Amino acid sequence: MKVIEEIVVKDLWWRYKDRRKWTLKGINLEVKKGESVGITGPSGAGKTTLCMAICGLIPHEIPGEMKGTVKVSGTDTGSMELRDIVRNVGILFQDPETQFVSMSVLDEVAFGLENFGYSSDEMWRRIEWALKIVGMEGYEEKHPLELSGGEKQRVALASILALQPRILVLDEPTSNLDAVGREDVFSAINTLKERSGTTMIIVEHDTEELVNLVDRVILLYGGELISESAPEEFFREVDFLKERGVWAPQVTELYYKLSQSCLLRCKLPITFDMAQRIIRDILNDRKISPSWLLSEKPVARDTLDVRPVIAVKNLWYTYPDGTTALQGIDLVIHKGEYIAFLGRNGSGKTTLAKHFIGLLKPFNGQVVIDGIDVRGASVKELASKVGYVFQNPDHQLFCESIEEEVGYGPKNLGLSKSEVKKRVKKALETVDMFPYREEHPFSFGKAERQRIAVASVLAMEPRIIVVDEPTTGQDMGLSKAMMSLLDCLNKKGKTIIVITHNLRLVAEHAKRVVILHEGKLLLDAPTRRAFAQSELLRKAHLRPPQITQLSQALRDIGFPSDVLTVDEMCNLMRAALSS
Amino acid sequence: MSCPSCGDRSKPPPGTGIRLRSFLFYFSPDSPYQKINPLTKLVMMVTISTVAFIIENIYANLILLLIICAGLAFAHISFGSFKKVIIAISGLLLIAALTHAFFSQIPGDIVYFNFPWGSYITERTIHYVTIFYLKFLAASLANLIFLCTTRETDLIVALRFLHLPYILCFMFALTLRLMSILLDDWWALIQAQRARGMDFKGSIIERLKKLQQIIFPLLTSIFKKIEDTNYAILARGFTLSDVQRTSIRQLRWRFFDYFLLTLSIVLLVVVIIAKYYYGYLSFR
Amino acid sequence: MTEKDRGEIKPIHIVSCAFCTAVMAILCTAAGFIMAAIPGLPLGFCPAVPIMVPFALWFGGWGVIAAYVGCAIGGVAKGIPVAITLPWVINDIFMAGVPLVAFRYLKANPELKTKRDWLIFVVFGMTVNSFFACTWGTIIPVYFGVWPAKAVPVIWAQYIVMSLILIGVITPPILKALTKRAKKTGAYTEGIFA
Repeated sequence: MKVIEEIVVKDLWWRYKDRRKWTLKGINLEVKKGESVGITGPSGAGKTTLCMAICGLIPHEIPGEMKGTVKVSGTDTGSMELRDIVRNVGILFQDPETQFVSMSVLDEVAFGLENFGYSSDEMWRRIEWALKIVGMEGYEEKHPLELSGGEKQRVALASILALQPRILVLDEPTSNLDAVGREDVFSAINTLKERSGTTMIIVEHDTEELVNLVDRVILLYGGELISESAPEEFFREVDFLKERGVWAPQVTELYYKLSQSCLLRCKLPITFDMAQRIIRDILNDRKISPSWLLSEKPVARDTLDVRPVIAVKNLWYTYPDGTTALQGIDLVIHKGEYIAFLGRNGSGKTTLAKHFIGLLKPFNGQVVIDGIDVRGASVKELASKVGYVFQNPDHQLFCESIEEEVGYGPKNLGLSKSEVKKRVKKALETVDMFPYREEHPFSFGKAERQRIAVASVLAMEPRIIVVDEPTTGQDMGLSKAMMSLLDCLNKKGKTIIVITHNLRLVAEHAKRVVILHEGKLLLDAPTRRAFAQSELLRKAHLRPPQITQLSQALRDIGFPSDVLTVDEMCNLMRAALSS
Repeated sequence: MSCPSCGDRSKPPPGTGIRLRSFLFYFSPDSPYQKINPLTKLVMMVTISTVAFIIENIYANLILLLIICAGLAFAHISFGSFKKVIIAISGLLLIAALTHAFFSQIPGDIVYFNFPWGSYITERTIHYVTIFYLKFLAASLANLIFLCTTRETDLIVALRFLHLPYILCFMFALTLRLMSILLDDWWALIQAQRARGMDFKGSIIERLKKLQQIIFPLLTSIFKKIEDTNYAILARGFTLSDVQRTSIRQLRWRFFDYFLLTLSIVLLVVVIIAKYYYGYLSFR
Repeated sequence: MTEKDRGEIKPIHIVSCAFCTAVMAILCTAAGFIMAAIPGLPLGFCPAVPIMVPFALWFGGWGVIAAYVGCAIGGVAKGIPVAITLPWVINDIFMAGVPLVAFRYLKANPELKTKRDWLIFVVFGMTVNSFFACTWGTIIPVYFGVWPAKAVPVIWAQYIVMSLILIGVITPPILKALTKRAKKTGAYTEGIFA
């Protein structure tokens, strides 16, 4: 009998060893041969666990308790050897670094083939094919240190494709990558989808990309599969999804809000093209009136202190290996500003930010923080003025309790015990972690550890806070929570500098944007003005939020090119539709 | 382009010109060392550094050091690249050399200094310390040539050719790969702690406590990485069972390899016989 | 994974050995160069020493192998000839192996929960292992002419004092805080190699 279901998950329950709670609760899923299924849901929903179960790592390698069955091509994975399962089910993990176990691209792609004893000629044929699919031909002798995150992830994908599995599981393949890396990996996945009949399971938080890749989407929440349908149907329930930590594409959210106000009655678009088509059809080539245009609310000058807290003058920086990371940067930042540093990896954002805390000293030029030239100041001196939250909060955590952790910085500044205690309490209350002050930091998840890292910086009472990529690897809900915390700190008078790749959140929160490209300052402007300059953004390999792209595509019928949020677009559309 | 020593069909990396990355620095694939297979380079490194170490005659040491320096120059690596490494090695050797100066009792015609603990410095002490410094420097530079002109991947090819168990070769290869990841983590940790006002000042105990504050998060991060890497290799069929494995890279042997291999082994044997049997090349 | 899989050597042990070796190598080379450049730190300061004991107690024989290979890599990277490095760093097998054998044979808990655990740690994890390791590490180089025999007492004293301080200050907090976390990984060994 012909098996058409490639994957059959039947009443799957899974509990990790030494845990009381079930991580997966009665999952039922069938995936047909050649189908692409997207899995989405908030962090901790069980998405990765389900992927592990499909590829056989659960239960063969990961200890725990399992009920139910997982069948791949008609055979129960519990009765197969792991090696036999992985021959047919390839899995790509999130972290491009830990997956890359060899010292060259060629060795990495060949790794799986060597393990299965393929002949040299067969290996070469498969390697060339796999590298072509992912667009990495000619990179065979490259060392991993020479590859970007996106390139490493593509090599990891090639390494799995070389085994030519029937099923491919992609577990958040782009969450640790910058915009360019994400684009490259999605492009490779698209190419694979077009050229081969591989069955795919894709776990992804970015719903705007997901809709273009899959035939069906499922929602995991609290270990249960609570929704399953084609993307057009799936994303229709905008509020339902939002309550469960999933943000629909912005265009879908826009039309959902308009339909709620009874101004629209149409099928909700899930892609940018669909959204554009619908608007044009509705407006029927009418142009919108200039009176509906948004007026830029000027930032009240008296709300900003005129003294700069950061003054960068003709800053040049060259790393010891000869790479010139910054070329003649000029920048002035005032007290109370909320700025986003944007640019692809390697553009110089973090290099620039590290000058503010004195971790790097200018090669040429000057950086003055609150009147202190960083050249003559120690990192310790600057730490009381500039708080730096690193991308990986674990790099800053080592104490036994949260209280001790947060108190570490003020202690280093030589403050009295009572002052340290006071500051710790204030900082922990700001991040809502005070009740847990005696717990070990590592007993919490990444989002909480990030808040602890922010608190440990706040306790030093800096006037300026730099947060390096707080949203990488996080789902939308946690990313928004972090940005809200930063909003709150900004309202209290802190100058906030956030380095991020998430332009949607930048549009919603930051007031000013600084874009770096190849070590040079490409643009320094208020967010609205910056996002309107699509050519410059394209040059910096940045893509504005979907809603901004939509407004820019509708310029010919009078839409402004600087719409930042769904609500703004909604207001414009309401005005246009009710005229 | 095929890798001359490994006989594979790979292409040169695009965009970076034609430079390959060794353990330490970048080198050109047209470098003469690329024509020598990695096993030959490994054996040469071991034999020449051993030879350098055995010889204890100031003139022979000096000549060997000059030959090794010429070998280093032949690798086409800019001096600026390995200046820091040489300074660090020289520093460590100087400390060891001075230990000899302060603690040895080598009789000579002129006693320059007497120490309270019974040691003394004579003209022969200075002669010996000079030989010590030269021979260790030569041995270290022989190591350095190997590290500068061999890729990690080529070393693994050499070890597999020696029919070392695959698991050992894989473990060694993985270690080399992980060193670059963990080194990045190490620097990130130091920066993260400095950003919170930590400095490496204070008494020895205080400095050790600060070192602990860097080691602690480093160890925490490796637990998750161990699991992730384990899943990544299992997902591509890695097993400890006895299975038939193949290799994409092969070791290519040329006449030049046989020649160099024979020359270095003969040199080692000759030096051993000359020193231990006939007493030449010894410190007198 | 079933109960029968316990006691079996698995790929995760190889991976953990590689990680530990890489950490050792980095602490021996990069950290060694940096720390030695800080004035006031004596010879014999090797930041890898206090990590060897936890690695051995957590990962068993794999931690001991990591101590040996990692320090050998560190030695070669620092310019010491291979022919000297390989016999010299056998001292690290003592440093890591003695506490491993003692803790397993005497069934002590690496989390150092009881006074007995602490006693076993101080005796075998600090003192006995340092004695053998420092003795080997000081005497063997004499045969290779790295330093003269007369320097041995001074160097030995410096090494053992440094080793006791390093292990005494750094190792116990690591064992107390991280053993639980290490036990959760599949690489933790109850025996010697599995």
